[in-house]
This record gives sequence, C-alpha cells and structure tokens, in this order.
Amino acid sequence: MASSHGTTTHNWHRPLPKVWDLPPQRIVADGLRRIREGGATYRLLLILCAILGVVGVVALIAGPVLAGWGERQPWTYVAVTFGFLMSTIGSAPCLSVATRLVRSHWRRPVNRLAEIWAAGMIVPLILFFLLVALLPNTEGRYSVWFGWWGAPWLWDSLLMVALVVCGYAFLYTAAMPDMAVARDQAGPNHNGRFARLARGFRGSVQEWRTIDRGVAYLGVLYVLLYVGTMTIIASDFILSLIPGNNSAIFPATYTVQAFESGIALTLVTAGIMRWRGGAADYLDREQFFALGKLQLALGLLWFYFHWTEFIIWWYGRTPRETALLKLLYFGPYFVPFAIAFALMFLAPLSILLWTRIRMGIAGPIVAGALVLVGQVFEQIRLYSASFSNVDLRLRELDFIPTAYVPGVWDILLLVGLVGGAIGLGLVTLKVVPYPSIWEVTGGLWLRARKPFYKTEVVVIGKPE
Amino acid sequence: MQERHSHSNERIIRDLLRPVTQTSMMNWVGFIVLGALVTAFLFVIAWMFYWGIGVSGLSRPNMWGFMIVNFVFWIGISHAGVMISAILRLTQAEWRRPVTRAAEVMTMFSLVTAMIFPFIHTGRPWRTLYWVFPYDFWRGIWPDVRSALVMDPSAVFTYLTGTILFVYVTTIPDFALLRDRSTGWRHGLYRVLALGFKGEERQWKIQIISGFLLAAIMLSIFVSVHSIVSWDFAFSLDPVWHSTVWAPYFVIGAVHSGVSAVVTLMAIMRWMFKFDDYIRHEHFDAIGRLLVVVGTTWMWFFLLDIFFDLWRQDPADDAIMHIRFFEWPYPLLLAFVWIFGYFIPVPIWAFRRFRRNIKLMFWASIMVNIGMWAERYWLVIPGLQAKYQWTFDWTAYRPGPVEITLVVGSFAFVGFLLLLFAKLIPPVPVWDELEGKHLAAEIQVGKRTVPAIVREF
Repeated sequence: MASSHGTTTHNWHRPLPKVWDLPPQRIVADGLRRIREGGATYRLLLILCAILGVVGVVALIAGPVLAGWGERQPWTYVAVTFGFLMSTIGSAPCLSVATRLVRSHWRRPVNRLAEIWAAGMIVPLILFFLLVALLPNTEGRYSVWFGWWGAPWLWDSLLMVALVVCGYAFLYTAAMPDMAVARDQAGPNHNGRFARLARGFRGSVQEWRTIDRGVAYLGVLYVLLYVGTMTIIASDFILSLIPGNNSAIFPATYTVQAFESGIALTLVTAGIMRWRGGAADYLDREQFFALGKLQLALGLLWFYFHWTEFIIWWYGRTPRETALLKLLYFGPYFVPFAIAFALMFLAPLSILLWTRIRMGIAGPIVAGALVLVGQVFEQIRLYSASFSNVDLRLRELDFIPTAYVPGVWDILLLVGLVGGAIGLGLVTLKVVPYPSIWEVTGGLWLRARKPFYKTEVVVIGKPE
Repeated sequence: MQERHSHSNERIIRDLLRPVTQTSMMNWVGFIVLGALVTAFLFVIAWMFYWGIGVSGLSRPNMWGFMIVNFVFWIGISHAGVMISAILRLTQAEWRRPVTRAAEVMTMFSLVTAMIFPFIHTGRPWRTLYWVFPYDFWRGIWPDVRSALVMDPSAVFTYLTGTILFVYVTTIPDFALLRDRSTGWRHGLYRVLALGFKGEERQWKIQIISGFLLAAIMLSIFVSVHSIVSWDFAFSLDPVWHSTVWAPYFVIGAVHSGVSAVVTLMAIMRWMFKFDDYIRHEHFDAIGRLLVVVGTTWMWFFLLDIFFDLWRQDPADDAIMHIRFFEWPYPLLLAFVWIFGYFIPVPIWAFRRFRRNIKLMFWASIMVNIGMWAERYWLVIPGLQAKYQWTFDWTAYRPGPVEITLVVGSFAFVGFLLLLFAKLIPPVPVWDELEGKHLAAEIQVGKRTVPAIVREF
C-alpha cells in the first residue's frame, strides 16, 4: 500500500488501514454527514424498521396481551424476543467497555457501533415489564430469592431499570464531545438541538478529565449491572420455571453467550456500515481481524460452558438430571439445540479458525451473522422449555412437556420487535455521530509512521 | 507513564544474566532456609511412607484432607504460566515480556509439586503402578477411563509435558546466548540445549511460530486441566460437590491465585535480583488491572456456587452448608476467603496509585493466596465431613503436624526449585527484553513525548 509519504509501507506483510492516514477534517466531515443528511438507503431502512416495529406491537397486542397474564405459554415468544434483545443489543456496549479498559487502538472506529445499541434498550425494558408480571410468588417454589420481600418483581425491575438508565447514560457521556462538534459545525439547522445535548462542553482539560472518568465508571457500572441482570433473568425467567433445574453454571452460560452475540452484532453492524454506510475507510481488516478473534474465543467458551453443564448431568444420571437432559438437549428441543450448537459454536470455529479467513472481512461478518441466527434458536429452546411448565412447586420434572410450536403472531412479534429495536439504533445515528470523532482523531495523534530497518511501520503511542 | 530504560544491549544481557553468573548473599540465605524446609518436607513424606497414612489427621470419613487441598491449590497456581504467557503472547500485550519466563517456570514446578500430593496420599505410592499396569487384568480391574480420577493424571501430565516444551522452546535463544558466554560444563550443557541456534532468520521464524502454536495448544489444555480437577469432585453425587459450575469456577479461581502468585514472584525478583529497570511499575499496574477483572469474575462464580447450593434445599446439601457457615473453623475460613481473596486486594487494585506501589502489590498478592488456599479448604473438606447418611458417621477433620509440614514444605519446595532454576536460566527472558527494546519507539504528541511500540498487527 502506498503511504502518505510515497513509500511502500507494510506491517508484517499486511496492508495498513486507511483510517490512520485520514486528515482530521475528513473524520469530522464523515461524522457529521449522517446528521446533516441521512441518505436514501438510511431513510428506506428507517421506514422498514418503523413498519416492522408497528407490526411487532400489533402482534404483541393481538397475541399474548389479549390472551392475558393467566398462562405463561402464550408469552413464550415475547420472552424469546426479550432474551434475544438483551443478549445482543444489551451486551454490545460491554464490548466497547472491555476494549476501552484494555486500551486497544483498533477499537476507536468500532466503539460507537457497539454503544449505539444501548439506545434500543427501551424495547426489552417494556417487554420485561410485561413479562415480570407472569412470574409467580417465590413462596413454595425453588428460586434464588429464598422468600425475600418483594422478590422477584421488585428486585428484578430495579436491576433492569438501572441497567437501561446506565446504558443511556454511557452512550450519552461517550458521545458528548462529538455532540459539541456537531453543535459547532453541523450547521444552523442542528445548532439548537446539539447545544442542549452538548451541555456547554468546550473541551477544557477539566471537561476532558470528567468525560474520561465518566465513560470509564459508567462503562464498568454498565458491565456489572449487565452481568447482574443477566444472572437474575437466567435464574428467574428460565431456571426457576423448570422444576429441578438448579444448574449453577447456567447464569454464567447465559451471560457468556450474550457476550458472544454482542460481538456478533457489532461485527454485522460494522459489515453493514462498511458496505452501505460509507465507513469503508474506518472499518478495515484490522477491526474485523480483532473482532473475529474475540468471536472465535467466545464461540469456544460457548461450547465449554454448555459442555460443563452437560457432562455433570450426564455423569450424575439422577432422575432429575435425566429429565433435564431430555427436556433441554435430546427431547422436544433437540432441533433448536442442534441449530444453536452448529451456529454458535461450529460455525465460528470452522470459519474463524483459519487465519487467512480471519484476516479478511467477509469471514468474520458471516460468522457473526450465523451466531445471531443461532442465538434466536437458543432463546427459543430456553424460553419454550421454561414457559411450558405449569406446576413450579415440583422438586423435579415428572413429565417432559411437548415442544411449543410458534404461531403467526409469535413470528411477527419476534421479527417486528427486533426490527423496532434496530430502528431505534438507526434513529440514534441521526443524533450521535459515527465514527466517534473524538476517539478516531485521538487515535491519529497516537499513531505515527517510523522507519524500521528497511521498511516503514506504524507505531502506537502508549501514554500510560 | 512508562519508565523505560535506555540501556545498551550489552548492559541488558549483563543485567539479566546476573542471577546465573553471580550468587548473592540473599541467594545463599534462600537456598539454606528453603533447603531446610524441603528437607523437613522430604523427611515427613518418608515418615508417612514408613508408618503409614495414619500418622496424618486423615480418618474416616475425611479421607481427602490437606493433601488434596494442596493438590488443588498448586494446580491452581500453575495456571498463571499459561494465563500470562500464552494469552498475553497471543494478544501481543507488550507488558508480558519480563514476566513470562517466571510464570511459565512456576507452572512447571507447581505442577510437579501438585502431583506429589495425590501420589503420597495413596499411602503406598509404589502400588499406583498397578493402576497403570494392572497385573491382574484378567480379573477386569482395568482403570475406568471414564472416571475423572483417570482423566486427571492424563490431563495434568499433558499439561506438564506441554509446559516443559513451551518453556524449552521459548528459552532456546537464551540457551544460545548462555552457550556463547560460558565455559566448562555449563558450556557443554547449554550447547546441547541450544540445539545449534545461531539466530538465523529461519531459526527465529520457527522459534516464534512454534511459540505461538504451543501457546494456542496450551490454552485448551490449561482450561481442561482445572476443569478435570474440579470434576474429580463434581462427577460424584456428593452433596455440594455435584455442581455444574465447578469447572469454570475452579479455572477462574486458579487464574486468580496463579496471577497473584506471579505478582509475588515479580516483586521478589525485583528485590532479589535488582531488576528495577526491567520489572517496572507499569508491569505491576497492568497485572493489577487484569487482576481486578479476574478477581471480580471469580467472586461472581463463588456467589453462584453458594446461592445454587442453597437453592436446592436438599437436607444433605443444607447439612454441609450449615457446617460451612456455622461450624468452626469454616466461618473463619470463609472470612479469609472474602476478606483476603477479594475485599482487601481488589479495591487496592482498583486504584492506579496503589497498583504502582510494589510493597502493597506484594502483600495483596500474598493475601489472595491465603484466601484462595482457605477457599479450597472450605470447598473440599466439609463435602466429606457430612457425606454419609447417619450423623454418627460425621466427624470433623483435624490436620496434624505432618500435614502442616507438608503444606509449608510444598511452598519451600517450589521456592527452592525456582531459585535453583534461576541459577541455570535467566528468570527474565533476555531475547524477549531485547526484542521489546527494538520494538520500542517514541512519538511526539503536542509538547509531550509519548512512549510507543511498533504495532504487531
């Protein structure tokens, strides 16, 4: 690749990404472009998502809401949608937090894509309030609450609200410097809105320090709340609704597979932004390679966590464990399990194991898309199995309920509400610039080209 | 801010080879004190072989006492090597360079120490050969390959073999360096070990690729080893042991204690070998940040295990949980686990100022390992104490002087081996440090000069 200096530049025989040769003005212009004008594709997508959102709401009302809160089974696909959204758009911001903590440089053009999904968290929050009303009192049944006052409704709701509020605060704080740029440069039509959002941010040393700390603390808090919330969701909405299922590893499994899907969502979003979003200069092999490595690692962890649960039940062979194996692995939900296994473990492993594919762009995106599909089936398996049991006071399953087959409303609900959440993410792109102007330009300062023996390499500044 | 040195290559080589070429007073004191403790350790083992396992505090139903706790603990410590070396090598974390060798070697010696315990725990260890080569196979007494007790030694020995290979491959350039700078028997030894390494481009390429490949292979073994150790317990139907979470819980606990042990070792190496220019504050800072994440994840698993033990509301589980929470000495041990394992060290590591205070890091890392040893005791021992249905079969475990000597002796044994190793091979990889120097750069950001590194994409 020809560098800006006119010499041939290679880093370990791989072309260097373009983003680090872009002038800061170009980054500002790209960041503000979508705010100034959305473009035809953007508008089309937004309309499509809005239609899907409306369809989802109609299906929600026509299906489960009209059926009432007396039975849990009609709500299965509301729970599936809730679980899927929590595991994808809920976990994507955690990727941004993790990469900030380890101070990766490749993260700079990616972070915003992960954070922006926090904007859609209002959808799972609404679904949560509809679902939490289905949970019975914890008295006389097995749960993690041991008869605590207000459990499970109050504590679950508090955690969920705290998570969503923290997600919005994290997104807003991380975007504030860019909103100040938009206030000053986006044009007269946008001044007022961004002036209010930027809250007088001028870029003083004190303000930057506050932003740095705010983003770090809110990010860590978000991850802690996310892990806590997923633990409680796994426990209250899945484990405690399956008699005899007290698998201690399950909350961790549920959280780990959510992290896997969060990375997958970010990969797919990055792929779409590169393909149709004009971000080809920002999202290059460097980003896809790094995300691909993470995707592979989390795919392996998916297998490890499931295997650990499986092997203990397999060796235990108590009637309780045999019933659980039949219900969740070999019985009515064998097909969803097999699909999830293939798409969440085998696919990322067989695609991303090869460095040549990982170094490309299409491979990681395809793996990410497959993981997302696998996650849908995993949620179907888990929530269908847990929402099919009637008597929760049993010590173990005395019979295996038949598989829940979704109806038309169920499918429309799932597709529609997921589309609505995507729409919220798209709307946010009109308010929050992509790429993150302050992070990418900050990265420019910390990168330089230096001669290294007979070639030229990129060096990264490590101020800390 | 990083505190890089600007020493010449020759100075770096001289400094890092100092532990091999010179024996300081501290070394001698270390050899004598640790040697005395190792002698006591060996004496106690011989004593136990002679008089039988009854000289220890083991008695029915508590047949897995300190020795099994120690086994789990040392397997845990061994996880530091791969954690630091393989993961940081694969992620190309620059701060790994001065700590990898010590961590890998600690893995090796703690695995050897760990394997001593189940071996001597059998009482008459020479009879363990019968399990491997059963003379009466016609009676069908082959080992059951599906048992975790068979998987366990296989996994541990695979890990040990892999670790030795990994340490060896990553030490070859240093062997070549030592070969060229030594005389006499040392020259002969290093000449053989260096395998003719001359620093040619092809040799470097093979060395680096094999290091990466071994690191990737070791990662899977590293996870499997402690998972299988946990399955020694969890495959049984014993109350509180039969838990699905134990495998990842053991692994993350192992990483917590192992990486903390690396911090202890880093501080000792810095003080003992005067490696102030090589093991610097920023290395403690980086490892401290890693430990905050590891420690918090471990605490999450710890809580999951407790809550789901209580969830079952099974009388057998409840009886053991009652012992764990209310019967002496378990509440004290639980306090150690919480306070030393998490609530003192992790808040300390949360602050950059404290992470860069080496004395504080040293003591915090010691605390973690006291907490983690207590955790293993808290997890393992009560599980057997109330194992049987009839309460008249329940007795408390009382470790005797034999077991206490074994615990102290095992620490001395690992320390002694590490000290001995440092006399033969530089404890900080010289080639890695020199490579780090070549990849180090500086860039100008505004008025400030910022340390930088060549990007290894």
